[in-house]
Amino acid sequence: MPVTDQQVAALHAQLAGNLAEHKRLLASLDKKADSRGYSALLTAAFYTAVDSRFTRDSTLDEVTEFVADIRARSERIRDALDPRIAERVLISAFTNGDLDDLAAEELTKTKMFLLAGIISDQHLDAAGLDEFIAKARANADELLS
Amino acid sequence: MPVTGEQVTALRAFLAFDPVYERLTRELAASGRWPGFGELVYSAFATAVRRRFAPTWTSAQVVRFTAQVRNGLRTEGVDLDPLATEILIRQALGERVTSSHDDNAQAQVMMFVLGELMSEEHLDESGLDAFLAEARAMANARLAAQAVASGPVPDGSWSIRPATAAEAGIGQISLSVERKNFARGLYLSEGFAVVDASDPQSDTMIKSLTHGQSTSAGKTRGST
Repeated sequence: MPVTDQQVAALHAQLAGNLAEHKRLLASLDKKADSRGYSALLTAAFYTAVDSRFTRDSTLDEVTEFVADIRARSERIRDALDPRIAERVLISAFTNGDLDDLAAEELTKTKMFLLAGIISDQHLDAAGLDEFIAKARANADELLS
Repeated sequence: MPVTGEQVTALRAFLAFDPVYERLTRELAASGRWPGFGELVYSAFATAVRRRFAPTWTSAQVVRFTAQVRNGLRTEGVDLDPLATEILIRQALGERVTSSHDDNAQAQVMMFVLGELMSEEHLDESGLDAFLAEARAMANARLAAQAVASGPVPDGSWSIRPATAAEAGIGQISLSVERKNFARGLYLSEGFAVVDASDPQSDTMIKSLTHGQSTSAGKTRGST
C-alpha cells in the first residue's frame, strides 16, 4: 500500500515547524495500518535530505560539526540527540553502514531530529517543501512497492 | 592532606607538554604519593574551563567546543566521548548535572580537554605558574571540604561535620566564605546557597540537610 495523504500531511506539518498540527495528525494515524507507510516515508525523507546535504566525500569532521550545530539549537535537542549515534546514523546514510545494534525507537528519533535539522537549514519556502516531500513520497512508494 | 609540590611539578610538565610528565606521574603512582593528584587535575580542568567560558556561557558554546575538540583529537587517534565531555564542562561551570560515565572516561576527558584549553591559552612561564597556583588553591579547598564531610576536622574551622550534623537532627549548616575564595564555587556545587551577601567581601551560605526542606532548626557555623 502506498504512502497516504494523511501520512504526508503529518510529516509536512513537522518539517514546516507546526508541531501541534504534527502531533495531532500523528495521533490520528492508525498505529498498525499506517506504521509501515509512515516509517517508509520518514526513511525516504531522511535519505533524500542527507543526499542533499552530504556526499560520499563528506568527512567525519563535517558530520561531527553538523550534529553539534543541531544539538546547539536547544537544550531539548541536545539532551534528546546522542551525538555518537547521530553521527553514525548520518554516516551510514551515505556509506551503507550497519545500524542493526540500534533500537528502532532510537533510530527513528535520531532520523527525525536530523531530518528536521537539515530541512530547517535549507530555508525552503512552501513550494520547496512541497517539492521535497513529493520526492520523498515517490522514493517511499518505491520502497513499499 | 594538601596537594604536594611534587604533584604540581608533574601537572606542570603535562601542561607544558614536557615528556617528563609520564615519568613523574609513574613515580607518583608507584610511590603511593598519588592521593590528591586527581583533585589537582580536576581543579586545573575546572579552572581552565571557567577561564574559557565564564562568567557567561551557553549550552550551545559547550556543545560546539566539544565537537571542535573531538575533531582536533581525532587526527591523533583519540575518540573523546562527547557526552562525558559536555557534562564535565557543564559541571565545572556550576551546573548540577550528573554523569553516568566511569572514572576512566572522565579522567581521559579531563586530561585531553585540559591540554586543549591550555594550548589555546598560550601561557608563558609566569602565566602557567599563576594558573597552577589557582588550581592548587582550588584543589586544597576541595580536599579540605572532603575531609570536613567525611573525616576528622582538619583545621578546627568547622565545629561539626555535615554528616554528623544531619545524624544529630540539625536541619541546616551555615558558613561564611570570602567571595574570592575558590571554595565558594565548590560550596555552591555542593548545595550551599547564599543567604546573606551584605558583607563587602564575603557571603554567608546555608545548606539544608533535610533534603528539600527549608528549616532553621539548629545551625553550625564554619568559616573559610
